[in-house]
Amino acid sequence: MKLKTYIIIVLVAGLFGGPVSANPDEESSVSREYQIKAAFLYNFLKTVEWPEEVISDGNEPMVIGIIGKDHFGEAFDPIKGKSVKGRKVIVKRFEGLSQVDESSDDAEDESKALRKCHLLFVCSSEQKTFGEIIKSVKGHSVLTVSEVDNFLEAGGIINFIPSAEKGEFEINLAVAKRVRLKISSKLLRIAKRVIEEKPSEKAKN
Amino acid sequence: LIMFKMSNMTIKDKLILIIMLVSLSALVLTAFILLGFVHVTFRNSMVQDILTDADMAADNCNVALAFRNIEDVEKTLTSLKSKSSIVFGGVYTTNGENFAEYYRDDIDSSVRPAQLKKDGYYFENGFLTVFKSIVLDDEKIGMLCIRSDLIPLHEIFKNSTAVITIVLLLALLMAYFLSARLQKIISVSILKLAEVAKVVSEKKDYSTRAIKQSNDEIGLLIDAFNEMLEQIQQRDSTLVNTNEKLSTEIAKRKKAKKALEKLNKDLESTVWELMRANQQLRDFTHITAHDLKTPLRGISTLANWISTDYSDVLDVRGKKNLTMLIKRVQRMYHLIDSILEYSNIIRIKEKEQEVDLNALLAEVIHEIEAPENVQISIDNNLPAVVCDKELMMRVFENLLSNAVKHAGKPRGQIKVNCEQENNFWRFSVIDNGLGIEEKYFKKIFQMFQTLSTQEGFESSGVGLSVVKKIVELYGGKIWVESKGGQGSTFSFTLPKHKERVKDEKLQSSTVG
Repeated sequence: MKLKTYIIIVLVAGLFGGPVSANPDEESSVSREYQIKAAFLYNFLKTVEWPEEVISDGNEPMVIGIIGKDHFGEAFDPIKGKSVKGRKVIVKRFEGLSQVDESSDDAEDESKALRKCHLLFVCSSEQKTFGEIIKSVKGHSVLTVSEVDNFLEAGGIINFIPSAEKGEFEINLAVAKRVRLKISSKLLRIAKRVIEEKPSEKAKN
Repeated sequence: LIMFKMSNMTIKDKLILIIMLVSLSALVLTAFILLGFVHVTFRNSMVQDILTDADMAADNCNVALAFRNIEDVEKTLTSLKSKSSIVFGGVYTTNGENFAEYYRDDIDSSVRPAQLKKDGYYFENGFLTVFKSIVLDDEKIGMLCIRSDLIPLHEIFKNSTAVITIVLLLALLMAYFLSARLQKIISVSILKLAEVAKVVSEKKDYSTRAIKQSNDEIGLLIDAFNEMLEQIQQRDSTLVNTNEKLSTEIAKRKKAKKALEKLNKDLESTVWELMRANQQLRDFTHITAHDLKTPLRGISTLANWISTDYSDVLDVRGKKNLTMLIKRVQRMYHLIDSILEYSNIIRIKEKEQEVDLNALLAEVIHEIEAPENVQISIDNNLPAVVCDKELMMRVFENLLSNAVKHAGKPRGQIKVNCEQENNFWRFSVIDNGLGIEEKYFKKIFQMFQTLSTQEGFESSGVGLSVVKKIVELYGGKIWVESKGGQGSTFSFTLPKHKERVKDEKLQSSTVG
């Protein structure tokens, strides 16, 4: 196991260290954890299928939204200029709901902007408001990802398990299906936990 | 070597061997082609299998690799276990680092490829190695490598070699049995022909014929052979006929020869008897002549005595008769001498030597004492001959004295000459006397024949017959030529070389 752990560390360093990363030493300021998470987000874009109408226009970029106080720093730099499904990938950062007044127009605008994201990463700073965020994109094909406990139970789709170090994640397949996101079985295979569609919920639909 | 050894084989074995060699080479060629085909085909299918495996594995582990999930990648690699020929599977990151590996249980890490290569398959170091990019959403995120040993290929090769070898052996066996049977099509007619030829040569039976069974070259050969036999048979029969004729001829000749031999013997004994009779006759003649001389001498002596003692008693007529008696007695004496001389020829003839005829003739002329009116000339140098001098002297004596007697009057001329005539000397004695009529040409050489009994021609009638006998004794001939009133020529021949002795006895006996 020791050898494997070592290999993983080396490999994770190489995750962006290969053709993705221009210079791995530059990112030493960013924590390794967020380098991994940034790479994972990028890979989620690749392994999840959005409904056709969402990505109908070929020129539209794939948008990764990040809401709240993030620790990614320059972790997304290696992704710059790269594309997924033939589209450019851009990263948009949003202020957390905790900083925005709930009833204000700004909040409404932000909700609209959030719905346009393909992937929305909810930072741990939004621990108290992630329910709101999920609600604001509910019914839209937005792949919600977070790193807080009970995110899936609140209706989130993918969650990095906070206690785990190696970027292990869990998936709520039921929610994903409800918003017509197709998640690759290969991705499900490597997830730590998958919440399947409950029979009662199925009946409800 | 093969050709040499083949030349000592029977046609049957040769045919079988040729067929077997041809079949073997065809089968071996086929076997090689088949093996090559099997090898290539199986190799391709093996490559296709491994490529499919690699495609599937690469596709299966792309997400896991992207998320750096080593367990899942390893799980994918471990699934390669289902293919027992795969010894190694490896997943590498884009910068070539080893992410996960799979080794077959019995294999250590030495089978790991030394370096990554481009996508594709490679046969190297006894392995089939496939490299395949791992792609996620059109982006190359790593590399998959699968290595397979070539045992299945070897196995297939081994099995197909075994099967093909067995098939080849079976085919050869079948070719052997088939050729052993089918070679008869050719060999049987040849063997039969050979057998017929053997029978013909052993039994000398040329009436045998080979039976033609096919219309190919062997059929032609058999036709030609039969034709040859026919010709031989014909020749043989004519030969046999000729032989029979010949042998009867030979038998006839033998018989004739025997008869001839008997005849010869008879003749010989006859000759011998004749010779004895001749000898007896000669002896008788000699003795008789000799014995007659004694009383004759007595008569002569008595007559002489009477003539001298009683001359005064006897009258003229008595004297005349007595004188005639004495003359007659003398003449008889002379006659008896001549007979003695003739019979003595054979006895004398023994002593032979080379005689110079010039000297001999001079001696003869001296002895003859020819009268002065007769001239004797010798034409040319005479040769020397091998003979009895006394006999040869008698020949010339007789001829010359004969010529002198008959020489012309008043002047007589006698010529002696000698010429060469083939292997003979021809001597001629020519006189100019009265000559001889042709009807006497033979008669004069017979004993007691004188042409004129006139007085003065004193002749016993023995001389020329003696000459003839001597000349013939030496193998020569004697003859006379004459024209009335122009003299006569006595010619005789003598062979130059001494060959006459052969017939000497016969001649001497026939003359007698």
